[in-house]
Amino acid sequence: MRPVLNIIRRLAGRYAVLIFAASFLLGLFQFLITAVVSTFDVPAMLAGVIAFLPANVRTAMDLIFGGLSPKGLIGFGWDHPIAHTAGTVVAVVLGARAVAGEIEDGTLELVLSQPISRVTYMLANVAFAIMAIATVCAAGVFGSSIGQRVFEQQTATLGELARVAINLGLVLLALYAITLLASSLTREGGRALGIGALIAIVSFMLRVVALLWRDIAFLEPYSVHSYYAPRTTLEVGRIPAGSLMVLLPLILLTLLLAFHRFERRDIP
Amino acid sequence: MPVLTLDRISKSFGALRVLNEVSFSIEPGEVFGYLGPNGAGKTTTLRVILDLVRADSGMVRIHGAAASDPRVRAETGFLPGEFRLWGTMTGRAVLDHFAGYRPDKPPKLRGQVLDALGMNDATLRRRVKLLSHGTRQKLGLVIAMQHDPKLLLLDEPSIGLDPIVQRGFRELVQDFARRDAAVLFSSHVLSEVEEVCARVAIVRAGSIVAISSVDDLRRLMLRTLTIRFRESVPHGLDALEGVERVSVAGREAVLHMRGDVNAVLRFIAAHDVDDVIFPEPQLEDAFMEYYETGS
Repeated sequence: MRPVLNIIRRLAGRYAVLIFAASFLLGLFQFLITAVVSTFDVPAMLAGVIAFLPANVRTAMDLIFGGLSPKGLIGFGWDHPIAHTAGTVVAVVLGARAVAGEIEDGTLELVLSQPISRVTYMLANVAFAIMAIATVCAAGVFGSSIGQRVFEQQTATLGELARVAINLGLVLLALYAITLLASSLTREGGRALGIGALIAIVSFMLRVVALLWRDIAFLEPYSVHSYYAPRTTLEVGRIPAGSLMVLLPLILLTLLLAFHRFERRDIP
Repeated sequence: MPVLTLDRISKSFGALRVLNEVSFSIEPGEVFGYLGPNGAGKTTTLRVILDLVRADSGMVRIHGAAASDPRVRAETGFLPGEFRLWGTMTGRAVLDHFAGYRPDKPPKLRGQVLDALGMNDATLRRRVKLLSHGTRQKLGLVIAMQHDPKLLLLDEPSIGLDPIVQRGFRELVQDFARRDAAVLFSSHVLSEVEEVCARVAIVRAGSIVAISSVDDLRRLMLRTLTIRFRESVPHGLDALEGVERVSVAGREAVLHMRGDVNAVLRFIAAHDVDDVIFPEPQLEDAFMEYYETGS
C-alpha cells in the first residue's frame, strides 16, 4: 500500500496544476450556466431562434437543450464542449503519460527497477486518475450548487447533480482507459495522447452529427459520449441503466487489456 | 551463494539477437566489470536482470530467487545508463520518493553518499531541471545507493562526473564490496573498470567472449617486449616458450608473447643487453584483442 501512495503523491504533485485548472474551468462554467439560466429568459430567447431552423435541426436542438426546460438547460451546461474539454484533457493526459509518457521521459525504467510490480504501478495510476476525474466532476457539481444558491434557484438537487457528475466521470474514465491502453502499446507519449484525443473528438462529434443527421443514427452506439445523458439523468433522477451497462464493462475490459499489455511488454 | 546468477539468457528484438546465452554470476563482495562497446548488449543485460526486458530463454536469480519477483529488488540499487528524472521535483523530493518504495529500509547511507559525491543541502533544494548533467548523475548514484543494497547495478556510472568525484565514487563502490555487496559495473571506460573490478566479462555482439580476473586477462593477453642487445640479436628467440612472433631491426628485437615470461627472462640474462622495454599490460589491450580477433 505504501508504494501505491508513494506513486499517487508524486502524480498529485506533478498534475496538481492541470487538475486544478480543469476543475476551476468546469466549476466556473457550471456556475455561469446557472447564472444565465437564472438571469435571462433563455427558453424565450432560444425559441425565437429555433423557430427559423430546419425541422431536423429543431428536433436536434430540442434534444440538446432538453425542451428548453430549466433542467434541460442545466443539462446542456453539463454536456457543453467546454465541460467535456475540461474533463477530457485530464483523462487523456493522465492516460497517455502513465506509461508511454514516462517511457519517453526515461523515468519508467528507474521506477520499475524499484520493488514494485507492474500491476501495482498501474493500480496507482488508475487510482490517481479516478481521484483526478472525481475532483474535476465534483468541481462541476460545486459550481452548479453554488450558482443555484447564489441565484436562489432550485432547479436540480445535489443528488441529481451528483448523478450527472458520476455519468460524466464514467465517460471520462472510459476515455482514460482507452488512452491508457494506447499508452501501454506505444513508447511515445505524444502518440498515445494523439490517439486518446482523436478518439474523444471523434466520439463526441459522432454523437453530435448523429443528432443532427438521423441517417447515421445507427453509428451512435459506437460513440462513448452517447452513453452520457445529463438531461435524462436530471429529469428522471438516475443514470440510464443502458449507459451503466455499456460504460462499466467498457472501462473494466479496456483497463484489463491495458494491464495485460503492460505486464508483458519490454521497458522501454 | 552468488548474489546474482544469469543462466543462458537469450533475447531477440524481432530478427535482431541482442543477447545470446549470456551466463555469469557475481559473489558477495565482488565488483564485476561488464565490458563492451555501445550496442554490445550491456544495457539489455541489466534490463533483463531487473525484469524490465523479458528474456526469451534462460533464468536470472537474485539471492536465489527469480528476478521476476519484485521483492528481490528491495535489496537492489540501479543506475540506468540513460538516467533521467522529473524536472519539476527537487533533488530531496526525488530521493524521498525513491526511499518511499522501501518503507522497511530507511535510506541510511544517504548522508555518506552525498558527502562522498560532494553534494550539499543547497543542491538538494533545487529543482532537478536546474541541475547540471553531472549533478543529476550524482543524484542517480544516491538513489541507487542510499538504501545500502546488496546488489548494485551501475550502467555507465561515471559519465558526467569530474575526476575528483570519480575518485569518491570509486571509493564508494569499494566500500560496498567491503560490506559484502555485489556490484555489476557496466562500462566501456576500461580504465575505471580496471581500477575497481577484480573480475570482468567482455561482451561482444550479445555474447560473452571472456570472463576472467583482470590479472588473468593481463597474463593471457598478447604483450610486446622490446630488447635492445649490445651486439647482434642472438638466434633462438622465436623458439622460446610463450613467444609467438619476433621482429628484428638491427640490434633490437620485438617479441610478441603471452603467458609465462621466465624462459624469456632467462634467455635475456644470458646475453648483454642495453635496454629492455616491457610495458605494464593494460586491460584495454586485452579488450581490443578480443574485439579484433573475436576469440
